[in-house]
Amino acid sequence: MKILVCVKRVPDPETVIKLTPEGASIVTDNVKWVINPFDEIAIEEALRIKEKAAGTEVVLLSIGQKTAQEQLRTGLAMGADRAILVLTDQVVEPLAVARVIEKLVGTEKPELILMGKQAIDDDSNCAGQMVAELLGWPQATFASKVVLGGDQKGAQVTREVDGGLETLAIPLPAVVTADLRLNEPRYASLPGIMKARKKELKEIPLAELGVDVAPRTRIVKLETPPKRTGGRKVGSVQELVQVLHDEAKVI
Amino acid sequence: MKDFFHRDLQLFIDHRFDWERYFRLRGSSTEVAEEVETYRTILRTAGEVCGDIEAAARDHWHEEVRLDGSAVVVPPHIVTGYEKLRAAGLLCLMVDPAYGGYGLPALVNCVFMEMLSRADPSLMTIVGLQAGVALDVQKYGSEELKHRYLPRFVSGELQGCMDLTEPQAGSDLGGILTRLSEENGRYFIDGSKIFITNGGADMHLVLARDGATFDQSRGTTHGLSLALCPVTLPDGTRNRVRVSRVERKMGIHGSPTCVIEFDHAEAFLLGQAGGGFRAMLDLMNNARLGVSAQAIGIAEAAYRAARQYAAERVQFGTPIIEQPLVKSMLTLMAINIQAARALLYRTCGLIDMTEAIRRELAAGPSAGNGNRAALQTELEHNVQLIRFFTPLCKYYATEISNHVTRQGIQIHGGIGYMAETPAGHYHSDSIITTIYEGTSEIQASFALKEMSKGALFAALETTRAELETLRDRRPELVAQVSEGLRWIEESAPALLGDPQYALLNAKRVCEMVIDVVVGGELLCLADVPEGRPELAASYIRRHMLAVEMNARRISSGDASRIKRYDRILGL
Repeated sequence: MKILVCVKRVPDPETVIKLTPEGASIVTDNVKWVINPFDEIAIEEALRIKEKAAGTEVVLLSIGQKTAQEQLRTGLAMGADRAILVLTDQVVEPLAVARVIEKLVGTEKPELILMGKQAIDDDSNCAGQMVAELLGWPQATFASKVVLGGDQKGAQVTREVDGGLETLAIPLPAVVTADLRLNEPRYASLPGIMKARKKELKEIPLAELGVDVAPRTRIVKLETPPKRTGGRKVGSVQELVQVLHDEAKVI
Repeated sequence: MKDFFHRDLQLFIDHRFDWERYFRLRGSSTEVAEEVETYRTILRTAGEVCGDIEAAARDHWHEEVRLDGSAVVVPPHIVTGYEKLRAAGLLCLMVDPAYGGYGLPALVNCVFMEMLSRADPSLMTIVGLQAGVALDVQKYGSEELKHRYLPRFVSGELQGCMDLTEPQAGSDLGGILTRLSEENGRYFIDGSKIFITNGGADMHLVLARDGATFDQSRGTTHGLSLALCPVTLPDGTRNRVRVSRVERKMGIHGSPTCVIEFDHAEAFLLGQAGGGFRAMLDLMNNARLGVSAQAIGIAEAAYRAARQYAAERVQFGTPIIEQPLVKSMLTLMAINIQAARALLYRTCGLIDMTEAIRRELAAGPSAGNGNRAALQTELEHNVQLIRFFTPLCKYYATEISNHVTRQGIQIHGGIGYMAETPAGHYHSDSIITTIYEGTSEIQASFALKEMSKGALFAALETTRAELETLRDRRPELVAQVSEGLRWIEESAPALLGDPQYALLNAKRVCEMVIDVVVGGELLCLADVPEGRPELAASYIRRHMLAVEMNARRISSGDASRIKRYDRILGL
């Protein structure tokens, strides 16, 4: 079977983010870039499926600037088979991302699309759902466990929902988005890095796809969270409950 | 905190090595930029693995190695860390592809060793020795040994250790009494070794006295042989080698230090019988660069912890990093670390380029990379510099590591003295680096010996030539380093003639040479993108004064500390 894994280049979650003076974007100098952590989990899941089911091909897809090659190479070094980079300098919104994926599914014809449940930069959490809608495929989001049927015609996906776990049975082809507890991604290995150099990384200019990627939204303003102030010590459990009830109003 | 392959390390890969020439000499047809990018990717990934290993190493620092029967049991975090490195394929990076390795340059390997040591200097000893033993097998072993063992070193199946020290043979390896005897073409070892790092390893590289010339060669380094002694013999039986004791130490608790007993254990000869000392020096020179990287890695960890603490700890209403004396300590730590790196990675680059030249010369005249005679001259010049710089690296990197880690405790104040605080752990780990693989005193005396053979002027000439290329851009700093050069040349003659007086001043003269060579290196690094000219300027201002002071002391001819030592000690 063929698995398409979608990969976004995002700032390292450990990077200290600074806003530009206009306040609608972030300063990108000195930012370390990584694979979106949820996408990394999606890659790992695809590789685990490949390890169990011989003949599986794992194809990576990213949309963005040429620099995203670095993240795709890392994914190839982890063990993916080949990669596609849709080149563009513009900001691509979730709907546009979903349309690009829809378009490429037409040529790639994967049986499974794996992606992170959301990107940690804009936290939109909707590209996966939109892809499923556009393709008319079933979706299982926030996956914490994926079990592929022996006939590869369907999958059982355990989802993390409020208050517990929900297990869905879905026919393939389908879209699955990865949550944090799905797996722990491996590191690219040295042999993997060497092999990745010879793997195909195809670049396609966004314009060539003929997809409507016109933005529907505009970022007006970004703000950093308020600075944390010091906590305070309370004398007893009773006092703590009282304070949580009367002042914080959380219980 | 997880930034392991950081800018200060990247500089040495990006700007201080002529990769174009290196690959051309090696006859490599690959795209240079792509190769170097692969090295960066490897180091970036290796840095992530190191970042992952670090936390457990901090939490379990106190855990000791145990001996269970004759099995060496390392703490669980060492096992886990090793597994992570193995899974990422980060063992024995330099082994040739012909034997299942990756043939990476010494420079890349050494940067990795520094990062790993920053994460866990105990684990680094295990990995470093494994790589070192593998390289020695590659250099001196038969094809059969190489094919049998090298792929298993690379895969992580086999670990290695170097068995040199005996109770009566520490710095003086001429005292070795372990015997290697030949019986019908097979070799056997009898004797015991002490202080063997990772002595529980599967493969022992043993320095032993050749049985055929045992009595004649006793007390000298002649007649020593190098042998590879596997714990499990090729036919699957257990060899007669065992660990009889593990030591408790001041630091690097996760790294086993063992007593080894050989009771007619079978071994394979590496190189010529009785010609092992040269091979051992080779291995030790590698190991010395490894320990230099280890020392810098520990210092980096200590510096980062201190910098973070100083930025957070508030006294007198401000973080203590605002205090001039704390600023002074922190800047000195940062400068010293980068200075030690400059010398170490310069030396690694020399080693790689020299290896490439050797390869080119061996390929024969048809390879056609310029003038062979010129290459031969360059090769000899480089070999001389490498022999000189290697003990200087070991001396300098490990001494600054002791100093930096000590300052790290000081910045932490009382908290730094508490058993749970890593600041003290870094210092305890660092101290071994000035001792093993040859003490600082041994390094200084080795370097002195190389100086007397002409390496001093070769090194000074090289620095002088480099300085000239920088004179237009930074006339003042270049003038200061040139002044340092002049002081060395002026005072050096005072060392001639009296070997005892020269030895008394060995560290002093080493420091002078380091100050000048590193001053030049830091100036070269100052102008690269994101270079830090202020760091170079601060180093040069401070250290050229030290050069002058040392020169004046050497010129004074004052030998009272050896001539009147009995009176000073009140004996």
